[in-house]
Amino acid sequence: MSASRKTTPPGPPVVRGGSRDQDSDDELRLTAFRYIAGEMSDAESAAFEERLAVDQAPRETVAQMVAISQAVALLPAEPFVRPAVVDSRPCRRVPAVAWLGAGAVCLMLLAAVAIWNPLGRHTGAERNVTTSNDAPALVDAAAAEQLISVWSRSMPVLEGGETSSDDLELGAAELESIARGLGGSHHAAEDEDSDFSWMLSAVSADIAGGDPVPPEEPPQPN
Amino acid sequence: MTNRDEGRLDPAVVASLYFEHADELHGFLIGVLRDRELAAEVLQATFVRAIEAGHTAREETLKGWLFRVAFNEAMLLKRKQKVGDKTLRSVAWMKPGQNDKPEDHLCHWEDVERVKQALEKLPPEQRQVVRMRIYEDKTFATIAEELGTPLGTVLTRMRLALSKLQNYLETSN
Repeated sequence: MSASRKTTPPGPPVVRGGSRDQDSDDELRLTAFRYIAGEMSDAESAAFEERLAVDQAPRETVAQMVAISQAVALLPAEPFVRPAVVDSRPCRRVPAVAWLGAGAVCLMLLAAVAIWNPLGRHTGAERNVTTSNDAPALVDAAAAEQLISVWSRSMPVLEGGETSSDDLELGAAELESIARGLGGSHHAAEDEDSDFSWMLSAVSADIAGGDPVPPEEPPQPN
Repeated sequence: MTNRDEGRLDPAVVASLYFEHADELHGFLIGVLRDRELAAEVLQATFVRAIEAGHTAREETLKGWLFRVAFNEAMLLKRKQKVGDKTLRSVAWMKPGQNDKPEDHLCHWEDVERVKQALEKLPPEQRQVVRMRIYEDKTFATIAEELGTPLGTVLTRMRLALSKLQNYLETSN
């Protein structure tokens, strides 16, 4: 053990938190590492090799330090650059992704509301149209085309283009109507009285170039 | 254990010794010689000696006997070939070469993964010294200069880091 103390260069005093054996082991590890790394003077190396010739503990320590050094050398740079505090809590990243996803969904909903707004500007009379029972597929396809067209016109809204804030504002009644329309869209062809049917009829009539069928009676507010 | 009639160690015992100690012995020889190929040669020579003269060692000291023989063989070669001298004051030889095969490495990938986990538990200042010394192959003096820290402090950080890495590996094993 004395050999290891001889070969260690002067430094700050060892922190005396552990036992003397622990300190000696720590010192031996550093000495062995300095030996394999070639960071010893000739005299220090010779002294350590004298010890290696007769003492099994430093031999095994040399082997351990080689194994550790090689394992560190084989590592990618990643563990050195990542801060420890982040490394200890990698699972915290999942909620961040979830929040991002939720934010994206909210943005998409807002965009959908903005897109539906021009259709929502029809008058009450225009809303109260009826659709033909024999052409639901045509109405759906036409509605899709109309939606694409509206979407294209609305893109500046999403991309930060010049758009009046009025274009984005919807009244509570309109929002409610849109919500009902979206919720019942799958049944529009079957349920002519649904709030969404007027919208499909209006789009269909607009594409056909004709006027929408006037309502027979005003809609009943929900 | 020994085949006394022929004055040789039982081949089964030698095989068992090789299985149990070859990796550690190889690491020791690499540390002494700082050359993997020479270390492998000396390892082979050591076990040839074990077959021929291992019966002279007491069973409880076979491991120590192997290390002593290996060390003597290594020092013989070192004096003859002048290996491990000042020109090899570097740990660059630790890093894998392009033509290295996985079996050329002393440590297994599980060990590398364990070292990685242990490194992540080190305080940043200790991890930094480990990185600069082993990964970037800078001398302690250079590290002290670059960090503007006394050499003794750098050595203390390295000593503590090595101790923690060793303890962590022993615990995880």
